[in-house]
Amino acid sequence: MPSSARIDRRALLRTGAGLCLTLAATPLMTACGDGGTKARPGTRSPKLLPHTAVRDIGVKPDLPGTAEGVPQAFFRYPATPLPAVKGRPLKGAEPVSAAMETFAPPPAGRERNAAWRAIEKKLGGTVDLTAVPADDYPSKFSTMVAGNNLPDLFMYPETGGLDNKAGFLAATCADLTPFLAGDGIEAYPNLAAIPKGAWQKAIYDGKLYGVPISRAVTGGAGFYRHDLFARAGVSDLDEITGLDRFTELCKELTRPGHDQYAIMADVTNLLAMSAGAPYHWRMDAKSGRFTADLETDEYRLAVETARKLHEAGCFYPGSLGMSGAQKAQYTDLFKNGKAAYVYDGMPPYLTPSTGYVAAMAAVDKTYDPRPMTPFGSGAVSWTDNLSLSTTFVRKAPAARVKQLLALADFVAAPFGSEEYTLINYGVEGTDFTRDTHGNPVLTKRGTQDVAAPWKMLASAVPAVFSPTSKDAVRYAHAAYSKMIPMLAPDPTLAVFSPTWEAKGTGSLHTLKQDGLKDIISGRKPMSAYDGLVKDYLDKGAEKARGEFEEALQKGKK
Amino acid sequence: MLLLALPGLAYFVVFHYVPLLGYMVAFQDYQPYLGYMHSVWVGFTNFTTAFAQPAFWSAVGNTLQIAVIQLVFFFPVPIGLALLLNSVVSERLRRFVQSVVYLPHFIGWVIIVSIFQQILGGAGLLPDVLGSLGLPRYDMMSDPEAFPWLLTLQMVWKDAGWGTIIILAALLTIDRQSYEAAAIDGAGPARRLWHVTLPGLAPVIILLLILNLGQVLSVGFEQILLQRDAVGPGAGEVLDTYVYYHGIKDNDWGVAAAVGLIKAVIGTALVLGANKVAHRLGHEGVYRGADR
Amino acid sequence: MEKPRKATLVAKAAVLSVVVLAVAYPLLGVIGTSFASQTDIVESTGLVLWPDHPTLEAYRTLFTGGVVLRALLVSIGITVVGTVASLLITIGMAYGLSRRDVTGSRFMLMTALFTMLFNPGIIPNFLLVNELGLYDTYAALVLPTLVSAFNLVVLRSFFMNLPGELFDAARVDGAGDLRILVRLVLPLSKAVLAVISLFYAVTYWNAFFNALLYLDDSEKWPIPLVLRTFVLQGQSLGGTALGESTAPHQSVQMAVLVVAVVPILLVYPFLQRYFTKGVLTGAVKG
Repeated sequence: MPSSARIDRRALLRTGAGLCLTLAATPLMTACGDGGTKARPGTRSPKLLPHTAVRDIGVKPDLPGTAEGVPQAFFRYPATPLPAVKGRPLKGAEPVSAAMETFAPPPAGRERNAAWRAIEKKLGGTVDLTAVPADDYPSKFSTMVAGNNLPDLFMYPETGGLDNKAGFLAATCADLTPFLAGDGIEAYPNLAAIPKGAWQKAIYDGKLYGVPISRAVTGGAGFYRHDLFARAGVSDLDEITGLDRFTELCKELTRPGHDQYAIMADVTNLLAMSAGAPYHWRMDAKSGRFTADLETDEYRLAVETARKLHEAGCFYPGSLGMSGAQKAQYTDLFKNGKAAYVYDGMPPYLTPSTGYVAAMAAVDKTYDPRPMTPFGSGAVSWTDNLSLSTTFVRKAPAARVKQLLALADFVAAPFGSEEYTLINYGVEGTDFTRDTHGNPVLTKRGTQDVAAPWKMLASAVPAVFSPTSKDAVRYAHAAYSKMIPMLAPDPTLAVFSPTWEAKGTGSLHTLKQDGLKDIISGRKPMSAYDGLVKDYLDKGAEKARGEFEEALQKGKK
Repeated sequence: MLLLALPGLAYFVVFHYVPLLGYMVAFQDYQPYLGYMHSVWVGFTNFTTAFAQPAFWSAVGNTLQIAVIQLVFFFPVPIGLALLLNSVVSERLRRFVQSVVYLPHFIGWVIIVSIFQQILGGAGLLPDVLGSLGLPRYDMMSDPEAFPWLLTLQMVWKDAGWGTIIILAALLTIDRQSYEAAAIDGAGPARRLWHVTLPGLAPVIILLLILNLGQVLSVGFEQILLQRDAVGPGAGEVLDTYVYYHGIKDNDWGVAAAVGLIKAVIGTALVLGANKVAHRLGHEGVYRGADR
Repeated sequence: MEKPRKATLVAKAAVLSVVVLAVAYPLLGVIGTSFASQTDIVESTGLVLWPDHPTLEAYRTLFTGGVVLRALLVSIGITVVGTVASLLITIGMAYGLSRRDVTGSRFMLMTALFTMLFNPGIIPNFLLVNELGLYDTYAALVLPTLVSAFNLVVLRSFFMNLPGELFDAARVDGAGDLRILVRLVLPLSKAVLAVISLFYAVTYWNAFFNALLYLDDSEKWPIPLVLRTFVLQGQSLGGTALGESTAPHQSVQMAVLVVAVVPILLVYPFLQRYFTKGVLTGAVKG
């Protein structure tokens, strides 16, 4: 019998699924049906949430952050890093194993890695990291689960996990509610800086399971060329009063003769946010009725507008059809000045040398890329970047869980702390030196040493920081400060639907994107939109709606 | 004799036949954390779910269309190229050409697709040239009609050179006396090609053709995944991408395994069938029993 | 032998030139881009044939710190050991099954053949490797892909096409099966053996997925897996993206390709000799 069949039976009993256990032990059983392994809809009670607070260790940001998720912003790296963790979190602990995805090359091994050794010294224990390239992490994760090889701490894959996440968590992962809910979080002050929305996503079946790797709540609305917009008469985004004005502007910005187009790759999300469409679902507060984004008039208007823009030739030719894997290609086209707007997440804005600001300055000093924000009076922004993912803790005795959470607290230490400096820059002198402004610069050795992806285990909202461009830091901070207060409420944070969990970012997402591209590109007429909505509902959204509403009713009782 | 074959046989049994048990997932609502033994059995639900979707059948249709076009227009190219190379007199030139054309095999699809985009894509070379001639700017890469041909063209570019290698090796096995005999009989190059070279290559070509038929339902997953969005699922969805978007993306292992099983059964039927046909035509095919 | 006609020659030259150009142009672009700076890449919006601001930054990124060099050594080891092991087992099996008169050979061939068609996915394979105790060992990179049914069938087919009279003669002389294999069959099959060695070597050289699933310790990773991480680098949507390389993504991607292919380029000519040999020159001009 493969080892995957081993299962923590007591865990099953505890979650109530144990009713079926005696039957489940016989392989050929067909009874017991869905009740045993299928998750049920439920609420995510705010009572389970930790009391969150902005973390202040004494490092003063140049521009302040908020508990809602506006990140702190810095023009310079603090001259003297301050401690954010008391004592040695892993003192006396058995070695810890952890798995996570990474976007970096393999780090230098422990014995040749000054940063790693310094971190372990500060932790007071050893940590073995299994870091897997992000694209391949879902495969690795599923084999770890099937082979019962999960480490003490592991990041849940961003996409591609298990279709019954709640059942998996109940069977294998430690319930963190007793440690983190309410005041419990006070023992882990760095984790307390993670905004509530990100925590909410880690609640399943009435238990808080994970530690978020949190992000700035919203992924932004893409980037635009301020210089081109200004030349077309829009020097302030507030002058774009609505979708019609934006359409006009795009037509003005499209000059095929000059190899310049208004839009690179996609604009639907920007238009939908500007029209006021919800992020996936909207809930009517009175009736408790859920409406899918595609069903709303706002979303339809956004699609219609995008279609018109495509018809008018405002898209860079062929870019609408580029897949995510070709992102480097189309963002380069934007950086080279081929378009006035591109949809991309906020983080690459400030990346040294290859980010939008740095790369475009190298091409042409007059290029002025800035973060786009939704426009018009009814505009909203979306909670589409609450967290990268969540780290879960494998079932363990309470004392061990506390040690593992202390490790998570350590890696979530804020910008400018001693811990943050070690994780991101390594040991001063060996791994990094300071430039004339006091900003850290990695040495060759440092590049290798800090490749260990500690920060993929837990993270507070990352700070906005660029040692080279004060203006860009201001623009990014301003965009967050504008977008976070205008977030559309996301009702799915408070309720849980197994169908949505399994298909929302999977086949339903594909169905939606495919249908939208067919319509926007003109392959199908606008009248196909109704068919798309129907298909979307039939293939799972209707069922998800039912589960959401059921959960809401249950929660009210 | 068979003793020599035993280590290989042992390998196949252990590393290929034992994992076949994994196909039981096709009949389960498989949850990796529960394992095979504790996942719920669902009978043929995974199959009927797939069969009930028009999108599934559309994917089957696209797969077959692409497969047939590739079989007809890609498969012969390496053979032709190998024959052409073989007819080059200068050994140095032959080796040089041969060692350039095999290289694209090592270039990943992401890079190949972006190269094609620069030439055929919406803002690429071809539309620019057409535009400057006053013709409509034709974008082949987002034309659903052209999709199978685009895929085939890319495959030719990537793998035709690599495919010559095995044909060249086969050419060497042809008995040179046959050529001399044919030449003495006054056969020209064309006739020698027809009467000596091609019959000499036939066993290998037929073998490759049959093995290819077994893979007929797996048309370039990564290549298509990258370009599917440009033409939409109506033309760009094939079986493998269907499984990816409707099984893997939902973490529904059962559907993926069910479709995999169907593909394997059809592939097997095609291989066995083609092999029979080869026998009827008097060829060895892949295998032949002691019944000759 | 008659002289080939001029028209034929011209046509051939034309076809070959087109083929070589169609292949060489992008290849040069790959090499050029690997030396390009961010400015070059953004300006060209694609492959850079001739970088105006050439830089070794991409290669420096790859080779700093020795992770790539170490992985190269691992891969060379895996490829050499794997190819030799695979060849031995494949030759044995192909030869063992190449005689029709041996009962059971057809059944065994079918056994191998079906494995080409059925692929139950990563989890069953993983569980097997795990149960066999191969997890986190180099053996997990060789044993699961030891014999390719394709190579086996091809090799057997070549063996069977060898002239039968040779074997009969050898057998009359009292040579055993093994002796016939070593003395007669293998020397006559150099071309196909070179081809199959190449196929095996390339497979081992390029394989990253098994390493990913079966090796936890990144210090054991072979070169394709390590290089893969460099291609992914900088695509993170999160974090402050500090400590990342300063080389542009595309040039790293191309440098990765160059580093991965150079060893194959070095080995290729030695194998190529065997299958582009001029045995037929003189016989089939034109």
